Amino acid sequence: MENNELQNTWNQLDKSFVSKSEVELDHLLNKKISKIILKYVYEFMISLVLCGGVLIFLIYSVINRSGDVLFIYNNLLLAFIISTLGGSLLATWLKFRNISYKKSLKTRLGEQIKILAFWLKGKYSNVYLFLIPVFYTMLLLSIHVYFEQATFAEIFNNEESLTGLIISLPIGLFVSYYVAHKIRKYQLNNLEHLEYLYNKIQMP
Amino acid sequence: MKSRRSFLNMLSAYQGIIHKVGLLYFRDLAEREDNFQETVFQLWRSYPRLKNTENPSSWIYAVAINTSITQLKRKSRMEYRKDLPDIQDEKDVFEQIARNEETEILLKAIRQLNEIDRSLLLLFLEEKSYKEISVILGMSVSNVGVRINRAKSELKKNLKNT
Repeated sequence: MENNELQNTWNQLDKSFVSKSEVELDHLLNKKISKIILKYVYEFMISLVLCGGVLIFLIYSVINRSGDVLFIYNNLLLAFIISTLGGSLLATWLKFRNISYKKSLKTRLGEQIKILAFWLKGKYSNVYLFLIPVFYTMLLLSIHVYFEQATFAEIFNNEESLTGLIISLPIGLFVSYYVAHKIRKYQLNNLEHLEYLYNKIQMP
Repeated sequence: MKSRRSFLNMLSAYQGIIHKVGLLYFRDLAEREDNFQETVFQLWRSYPRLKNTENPSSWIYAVAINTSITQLKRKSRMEYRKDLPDIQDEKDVFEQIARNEETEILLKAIRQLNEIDRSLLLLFLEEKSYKEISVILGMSVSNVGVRINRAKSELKKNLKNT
């Protein structure tokens, strides 16, 4: 087929669509907006329950245990980690989401790659390997100390408590690493696909 | 302030672009409907910043291609596989698509190209200038020419085999 023939054949496609009326398009847009709002409310609620719930517990328990210095340090450090990490993740998510669709395909892909690569391949991309056990141990200790109604020091001197911690620690770590690994793998696949597309555009 | 009415009016006139972009990237009708909806939403989001309201087609192509490629990432990638039933077998009753055999063959051949070459050929077939294509995809004008020629050769090979 020559260029003209190709274009003529292609233009026949225009006749094959049934156009949506303005009312239908308006309805479709409304439906999509409602769906997006619902999705964000849902995601926001989950984040709020997870991060907010833990933060409230940490602060509430610190107020109730103002005498246990180790417990206070532990909880404040945990609250700091959660706020910093949660804030950074939220900022990244917003940045990623707000990359304009109006930009050229190459620019848009480049910006997406830059953000994802920072988290997955950047200087601090392996921090999670260290952060997970530290975070999990501190959280487990905090919950355990609080509900056992003992001080931080007493827990380490109690054989039963120590046994409980030793058993639950590897199980929790396994689950946490497994989830983190799955999320990372999914995001790495995304990154790989974006890089594949970007390279296809750059190809001479 | 641009009104929703003027947006819908413009969208109504140019919706064919979204249909055609979707057709190149999504085999499944439900996925195409989803993509149509998402593209309309992304267009609505960036509409207030649109400068050239007289000729918005380049903007619609850019948003439609960007959205489809983002959607592809989220959904299963549409790899052309001969063992899967093609769109012709699907009978898009809801879209009421009545494409002739020539168009079907052309669509099938284009779908065998990689995602970027599909966009390049789409814009070429839509008679966009090399300059406009370079802006939409972010390539240099000279590269657009080279790539279109290469994609056309591959398309011709695919057409022979189809």
